[in-house]
Amino acid sequence: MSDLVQTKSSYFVRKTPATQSLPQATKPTIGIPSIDFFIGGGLPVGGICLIGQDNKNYYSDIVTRCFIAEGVVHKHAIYVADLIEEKEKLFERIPDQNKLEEPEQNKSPDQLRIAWRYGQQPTQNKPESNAKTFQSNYFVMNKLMPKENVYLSSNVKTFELNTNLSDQFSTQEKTKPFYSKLAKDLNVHIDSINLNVNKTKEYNNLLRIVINSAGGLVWNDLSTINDESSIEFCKFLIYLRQLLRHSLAVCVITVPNEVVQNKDLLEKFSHLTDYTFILDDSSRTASRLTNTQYDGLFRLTKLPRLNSLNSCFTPETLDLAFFVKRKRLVVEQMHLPPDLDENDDTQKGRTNTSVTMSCSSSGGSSGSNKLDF
Amino acid sequence: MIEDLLNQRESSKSILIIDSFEHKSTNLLYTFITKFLEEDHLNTDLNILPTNRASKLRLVNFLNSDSTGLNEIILEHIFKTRLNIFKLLLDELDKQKSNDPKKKFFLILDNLNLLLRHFDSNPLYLLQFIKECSKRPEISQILIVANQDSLDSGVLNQLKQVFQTVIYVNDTKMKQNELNLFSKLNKQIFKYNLKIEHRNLRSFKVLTHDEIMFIDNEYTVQKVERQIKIKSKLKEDDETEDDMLKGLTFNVHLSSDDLEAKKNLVLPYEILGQKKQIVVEKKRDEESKIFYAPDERDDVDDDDPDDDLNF
Repeated sequence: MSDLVQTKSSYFVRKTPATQSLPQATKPTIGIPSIDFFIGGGLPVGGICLIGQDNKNYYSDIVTRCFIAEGVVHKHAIYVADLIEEKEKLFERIPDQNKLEEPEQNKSPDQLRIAWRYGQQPTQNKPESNAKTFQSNYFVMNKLMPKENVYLSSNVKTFELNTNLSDQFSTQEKTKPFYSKLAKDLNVHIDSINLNVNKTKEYNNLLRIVINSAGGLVWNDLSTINDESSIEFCKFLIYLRQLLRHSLAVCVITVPNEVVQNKDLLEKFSHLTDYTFILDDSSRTASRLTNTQYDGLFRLTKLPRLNSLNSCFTPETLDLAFFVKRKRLVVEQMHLPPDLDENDDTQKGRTNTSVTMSCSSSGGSSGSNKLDF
Repeated sequence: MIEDLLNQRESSKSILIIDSFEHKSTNLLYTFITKFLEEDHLNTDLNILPTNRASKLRLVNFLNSDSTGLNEIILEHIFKTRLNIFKLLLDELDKQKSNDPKKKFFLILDNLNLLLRHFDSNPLYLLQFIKECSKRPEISQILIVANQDSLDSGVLNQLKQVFQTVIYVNDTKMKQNELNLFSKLNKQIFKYNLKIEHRNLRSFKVLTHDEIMFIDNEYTVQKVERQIKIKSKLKEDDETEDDMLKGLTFNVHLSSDDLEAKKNLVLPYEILGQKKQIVVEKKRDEESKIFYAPDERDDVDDDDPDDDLNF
């Protein structure tokens, strides 16, 4: 039987180098060590990461700027499609590299006299201490990279939308979203810098793509007003996915807060991407985090399933929150402070409102009883 | 913050004022215009869409110099020909600039709802127009008024992203104590409870300022009150040991002698952690002996009971 049966190799072998399970060191990192830690060390080559913007687009802007800064440091090619901000202004705000601080050293054994066994363990699982393992750099927002350095070190290109205000809007057919132009431009650019795996065999660089506020009105996309209009962005994502699977590129797309609040839309777009996470600082979340150091919740809603049915990496916990500390964005496991009430009886002793024993009813109501402890 | 914006101490290329039917921003808008007109190099203002406020403003007729009629003719012309208002406006600005290159412009569009209706509720041209204005150095500022009651909140939130400063008009009703405060002035006072979100272009951070502004009928700022919200922080660091021990009815305080004795005390398990071993001096000369006194029931047997085990 064994002679008659010829073993064949699997029919489902992927031949593209992209999306193969790479060792962690070769995954392009986002530029924020704590986020890289929770997504498995970085983004897979050929992958798309969808980021839900916060209310005021401040924290998501930090993420995209760090992503660009990481590309500048590693001399990757950079492509930015941002229709809100001018490219000159955007590249003036790229954060500069800073040395990673050493993690807080545990107390010396002499200080932990009784609980000496805990002295050997780390105080808290600090994701940033693992930054060196996946070569993530460390950027601070108050130190900006000179614009010339950005242009000199990387092949930088931005998406230019050459629309004219003089176009008479009434005579033309209703203007469609600009995704088709973006898709064409991306295709041409990837071919021009020889990062298309099908067309060239010598590749020595990586392209980092940033698309800001996709799915929003600024792209002439009415998805947030009319759900049926979301098909254009879905088509673009499908095209982008197949383009990136055959390219040495990684893409980060941010979507406006209005898309995040529409669950159906978010689910549709998230289905067509590899990673999805949301920086949630809505008023409801902020009210929950009032007495904490956190600015919002980091909701990791989708993890990639590359070449497998299961996700290749799952973080220890999905209970994550973010905050800005010393001009950098930090994501960590959420630790809520103990729920101590100010009028807690255990701290102040029994108060008048506490129930007194019936036999001491005459004395108990006069205030704190000296016998009570 | 509002005073800085009015006096141009804080530069903001694009300002969006969001009001409502209940709390209108009319006098606030006039205050902006009045302040701007006081500047020497600014002597022109444009009002491209007619409103009931037009009579109080100086208009520049951008269509042709002959037409003296104001509202109806302009409206009719624009809507009949479906002209792009923004294109017309920019052409007019270019024309003005060619006559006097140093001239600066302060654009006011009143209001955003009408503009969106003109463009079939498609905000694309408005977004492009604001971007175009931000690029041009001759336009010192663009100010747009929007009514939140007649706009989709999702659309408004996305349009806000393009503006550097967004001013919300929350409340305009005067309280009795406020009326008494300004009673001596013999002027009509208008109150504006404002929430200002101003984006720092360098850090992209949006700072929120809550202020109450009082202006008189001559559009002069009388008073500005700033409302500072204190963010409550974790209370762990604030509590000292003394606070925690305040309510206790028995004494847990340690004197200095007690503290020293506590410090010097070495507990058995500490020795393990510090890897110190108790050194016991062995006296080799002495051998220990076991004295066994068997009971009646004991079966004294010299054999080893484990001999039958097979290992």
